[in-house]
Formats: sequence, C-alpha cells, structure tokens
Amino acid sequence: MTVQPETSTEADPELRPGEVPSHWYNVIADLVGYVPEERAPARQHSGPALRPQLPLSIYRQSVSREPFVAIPAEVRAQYERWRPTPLIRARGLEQQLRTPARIYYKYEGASLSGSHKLNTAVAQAYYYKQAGVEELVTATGAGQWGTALSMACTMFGLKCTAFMVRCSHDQKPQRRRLVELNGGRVIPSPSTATKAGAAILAADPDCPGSLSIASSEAHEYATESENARYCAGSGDNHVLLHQTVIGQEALAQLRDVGDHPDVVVGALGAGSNFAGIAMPFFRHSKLTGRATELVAVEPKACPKLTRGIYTWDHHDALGNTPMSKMYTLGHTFVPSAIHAGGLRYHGAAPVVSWMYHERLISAVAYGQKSVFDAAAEFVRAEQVIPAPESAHAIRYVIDRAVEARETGTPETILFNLSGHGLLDLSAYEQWADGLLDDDPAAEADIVRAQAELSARAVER
Amino acid sequence: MEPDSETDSVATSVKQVIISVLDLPMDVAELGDDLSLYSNSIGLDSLTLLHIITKLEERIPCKIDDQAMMFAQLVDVGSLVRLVSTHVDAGTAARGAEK
Repeated sequence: MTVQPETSTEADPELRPGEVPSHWYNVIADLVGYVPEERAPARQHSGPALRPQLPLSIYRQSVSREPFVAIPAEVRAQYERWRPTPLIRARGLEQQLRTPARIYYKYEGASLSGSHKLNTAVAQAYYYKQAGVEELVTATGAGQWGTALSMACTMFGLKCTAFMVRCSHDQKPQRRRLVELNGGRVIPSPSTATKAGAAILAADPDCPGSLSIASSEAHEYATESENARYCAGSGDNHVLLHQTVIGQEALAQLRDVGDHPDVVVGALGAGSNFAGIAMPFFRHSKLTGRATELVAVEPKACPKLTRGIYTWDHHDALGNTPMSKMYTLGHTFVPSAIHAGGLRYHGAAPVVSWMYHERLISAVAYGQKSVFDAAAEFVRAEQVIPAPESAHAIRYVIDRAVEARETGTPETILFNLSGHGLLDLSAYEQWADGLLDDDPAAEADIVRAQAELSARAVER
Repeated sequence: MEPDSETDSVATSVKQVIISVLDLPMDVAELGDDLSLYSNSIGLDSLTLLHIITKLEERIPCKIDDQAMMFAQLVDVGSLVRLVSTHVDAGTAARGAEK
C-alpha cells in the first residue's frame, strides 16, 4: 500500500484550543543552510541484501523542506484519545519561589504511556504497518520509549522487541512488566542475544549498558530478521517532527490565556523532548519577530552539547549505523548509571546540533542530585511527580524563576513536563536516603571516547 | 517507445543518480549491473538507498510504495534498476534519462 505524506506550503494550519493538530511542523523548512540528507555511509553492512529499516514515507518526511506534514487520520484518531495534553500554570511553584515569573508546563505525563514518547510511537507504528513490517525492534533507556512503542504496536497489530539498557532495567523493574502487559518483549542490554552485546559483555561483564549499545543490538537483531525493522525513539528528523504536536498545542493554549513564553525549556537526551516543545516557537519567532529563548537541559553525566564536539559520528556504540554530523561525546562513551536513562545518549540530534552550532538555541547541564532536589521542590508545590528526565527542565526553570525574583523580571517560562515519575519512585527513595550525587562525566572518559572517534575517522 | 530502450533509459537514470549521490569517480558504462551495492566501490547503506530513490522519483516518473521498497531484495545495481523499472510510468521514462 502506498502512503505518501502530504505536505503543505500554504498558511500555517490554525489550531484552536481543545483541538489536536492536523499537521506536524517541520523545522527544517525554516533552517536556511541545513542539509537534511547529509550523512556519511555506515562503516559496514551485514545481512544478505540491502534492506531499508525506515519506510520510504517516513524518509520523505525526514528530508522534506515543506513546513507542514499532514497527520494521517488513523494517527490523529489515536492522538485524540489523550491529546491535547493539559497546559498547566504552576501557580504553586510560583508562590513557593515568590517569583514574579509566570511558569507553565505542558503535561505529557497525561498520555496513555505516561510520556511524550507515544506521539512518535503511534506515528511510526502506523507507517511501518502500512509498509508490511510485522515486528518493530528498538532500544529503550528508562523504558518510556519501550512502553510507548509496545502500546503503539498493539494498536496497529505489530510485535515489539525492546533492548532495554541494563542499569535502567534493574533500577525500574516495573517497566519490564508494563511493556510485557502491552504485548512487548524486553531484553536487558548488553545481552548475549546479539553479537554486539556478547562482544561488549566479553570485554566488560558488568557493563551497565547505554542507549548506544542497546541501539547496536536492536539494529543487529533487525537487520538479521526478514520481517522485523529497527525504529528509533529520538534523534532522527522524523521523530522530532512527530513530537511537534506538543509545542503547537502549547502555542494555541497560551494564546487562549493571553500569554506567550519568553523562554521554552526541555530536557535533552537526543532531542525529541526538547524539539517537540521548542520548534513551533522557533517558527513563531521567525514569523512574528518576537524572540523566544529555547533552552535544552542535559545531564552533567552525559553533556553532549555543553562538552561534546561537533563532528561526524555514528548513532550506535558499535558504529554500524550511518554517521551524522552532531554534537557528540563519542559513540563509545558510556555514561554513569544516572536515573534519567532517557538522557544517557552520546549525541544530540543532527537538527538540534546544527541549531546549537548556529546559536539558535542554548544549553545547560545539571548534576543528578541537584535535579532531584528540584524535582522534590516541584512535587511539594504542584503534587505532580516528574520523571527524572523532565526534572532536568525543572531544575533550570526553578533557577530561572529565582533569578527573575532577584531581578524583578515578570517573564513567562514554559517547559515540557515530558513524563510522570510514578515508576521512578525507587530513584526518589535513593535521593531521600542521600544516596545520589551529581555524578558528572569524567573528563578522561570523554577524551578517550572522542580519541577513539578520531582514530576511527582516520581509518575510514 | 520500445520496452528495451525504456529499460535502458531507466538503467541509465538509476546509474547516473547512484554516481551523483555517492560522488563516485566513474561513469555510467563502468557501473555494471552485477556490481554489489555494498561493495567497496559503492558502499551504499540503507538510508542512502532511500535518498537515491527519492532523487530518482524527482527525475523520472516513478513512485515506489513503502511495501515494495521495504521488502525489495536489493543485492546489486541490476536489482535496483529492476525495482525502479517495475514502478515506472511507462512511456515517459526516456525523458528523465535525458535530463
């Protein structure tokens, strides 16, 4: 069956409060100088024949220069089960901080899976189903993506296998059960189920795993299966595209209450959480001339924007995927086992990296303990328990709101509360017991991984 | 147009696009049908393959659907030519090769 994404160069689709967007917003259309097709080929190819892992329809979306891509009716019908998600003014936090700033959060924890990940999971499962694929294979960190994909696969009659980063798998055992309840299969990574995982375990039997390693395993599993395909939960252009329903809704909801953000904040693992809320505001600034600051917040344990280098790198630990130009710590970098498993990825999305390089967005990094301090402060004020990933954005928002108090600036702050933390209570328990520290990446580990990347570049 | 000449023109287009996208130091005559798509001289990966398909769709009147693309058995240059040939809008392919 042919599924051709419909694109539009006409005026921006108008979105009224209470409506689900009819289109995804493609920021590439507004980035003069960015080349979406640019990449270096994979280092090696395995398997009997060259088989795409991505449906052609999704690829067309990922390289499109049109500003809008129509959301298929089947996908929109699923979105309408939980979207639009609430935009909530954090009055309790404002009062607690005694700040003149107005703080809003977009609560993606209200989705069926409890995080923003379902926005792209549903879209991808739809397109893969149309392409005749029977099983989706993926890598998941904290398990939010694995949960979302297993749900989406069930919606469209697909099987789902998730390689889950081992340290997150052990930290959050309920995640496995949740994925399995939704018909998915979970394999802790690194595993002996693939050659990639077995090699890593042979070198380090206690390896905690990483998203890059799990990606290598999922990719290998998919390329060796006739009817299975690898799909990604963040980083790729199409994933960022699908997440823009968040920012489009927020823009309309804020307009409805007569407000507009001076700053938009999102946590950054590879980029879809941040891009989902930020990119529609980038377009708004471009069209209206009204500046909105866009801030990505990353963990000090995996600081790809603030301490990485802008160069060509692979998307997986073994270097089997094509290279993209990105801010990276090196694909062999293994972050410490922080609880924000969704942020433990070595590189930033190519689009986000390009925008950072062009100084269109900014970035900050925080340590794990300070992030949980902020999360606990937020819970006391708002009675919403954020996922550790979302808590990174909250750390920045609190610091910014305190600064607004000290300077007397009545600015408007919007952030993406990308998921709830109800399956992360063991992490909160460790924080309460004083067992968490800031755990920044060691300079020697970054230098080693980047040196390996340089050495590999010379080999090519 | 005769079927053989149509096939030849599609083959020429496919090879021209492969050479252009991958910036290969060879001409169409040197790119044989039996050359492996992932040989050292071509070094194709699955994303670049999709890029080549979208470039071909801009150049000649063909539209490949998701399922045909996803399950095509692509081993060598000839198999890619055959895939495109079966999705070409007959009678208008030759114009593409002249572009």
